[in-house]
Amino acid sequence: MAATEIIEALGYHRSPHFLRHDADSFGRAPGFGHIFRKAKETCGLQGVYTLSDRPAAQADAVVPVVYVCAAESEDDADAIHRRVWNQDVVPFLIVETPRCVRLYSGFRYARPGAPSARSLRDRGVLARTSPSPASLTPCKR
Amino acid sequence: MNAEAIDSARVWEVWGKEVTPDTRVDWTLLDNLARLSRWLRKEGVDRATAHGLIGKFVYLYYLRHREILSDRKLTRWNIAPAAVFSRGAEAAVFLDLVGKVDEWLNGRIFPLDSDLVRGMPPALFERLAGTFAGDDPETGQLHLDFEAYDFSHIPIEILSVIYEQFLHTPGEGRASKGKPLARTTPPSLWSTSWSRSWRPVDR
Repeated sequence: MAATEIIEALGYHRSPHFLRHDADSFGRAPGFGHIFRKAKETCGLQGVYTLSDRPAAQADAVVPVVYVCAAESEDDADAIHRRVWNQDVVPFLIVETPRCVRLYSGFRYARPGAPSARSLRDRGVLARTSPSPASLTPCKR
Repeated sequence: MNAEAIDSARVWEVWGKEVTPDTRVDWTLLDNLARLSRWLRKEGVDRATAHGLIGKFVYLYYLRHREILSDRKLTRWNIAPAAVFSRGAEAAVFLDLVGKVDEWLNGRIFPLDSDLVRGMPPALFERLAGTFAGDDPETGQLHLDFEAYDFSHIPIEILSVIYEQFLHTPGEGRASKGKPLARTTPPSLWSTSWSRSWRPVDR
């Protein structure tokens, strides 16, 4: 599943609250332009779903809710999760890899192998698809 | 997690409990710094020196991760990165770098008594530096895991929060009694609070 398919499957592509990376809209996001551009460079950011009182590209203020990113592998997805957690701006992160899709918490992170990472949930992995994704399956605690 | 669920705020009913503030990077970092301070004080380092050292290390890591303190810059200053940013760090090199940075950037942040740092047992200084490089100062007990932090992505505002809430606390710090540090709401949290209470408007 490509990031564009996820964006369409979730209905983001039709929403005025979705900022796409390819529309120069990141630079116009008030207060977040430099953060989104950084995420585009380092996290494969494809788009940001926001809350706003008008179309996001014209809003005076936006609140990022979901990052949609693309990664080469699940290890890359975990590395993106770490960077997004460090950015501290978005509560949810969806990362598409060639094998699966993962939903992460943008506000929770523990390194794989760290003592505090006893489960995927502890690491901030909220849900994931199998290699042949039908829908996101919540991770166990 | 679809558009309708976000617009209707239904997404918070399902996932809201997964995005609590206590696991955010700013709270986690402040908590880890407080625990590191308690550990240093238990090892006999006075409070001001402990906080000054921690502040300086955070500051230097910010500059390092953001490539302001690049390899090229350090080479020009004749400073080996591993002599500051690894478990093999040396207090003298650390202080040399701090002095050069202060002069270069024309200012000082996080005051530190150099003589007290020089007087620290080298092994203790190495353990402190190693903690910032990812080691656990008391294996199996503190689990600070500084490797999780990427200061090239952490908002710069957190530096001022660290200064205000952690290093600039006058008198006996709240952290010194084993209690969590007081925390005000960082600006980044306002948006989440707002988004959780926000409801969609008619379009």
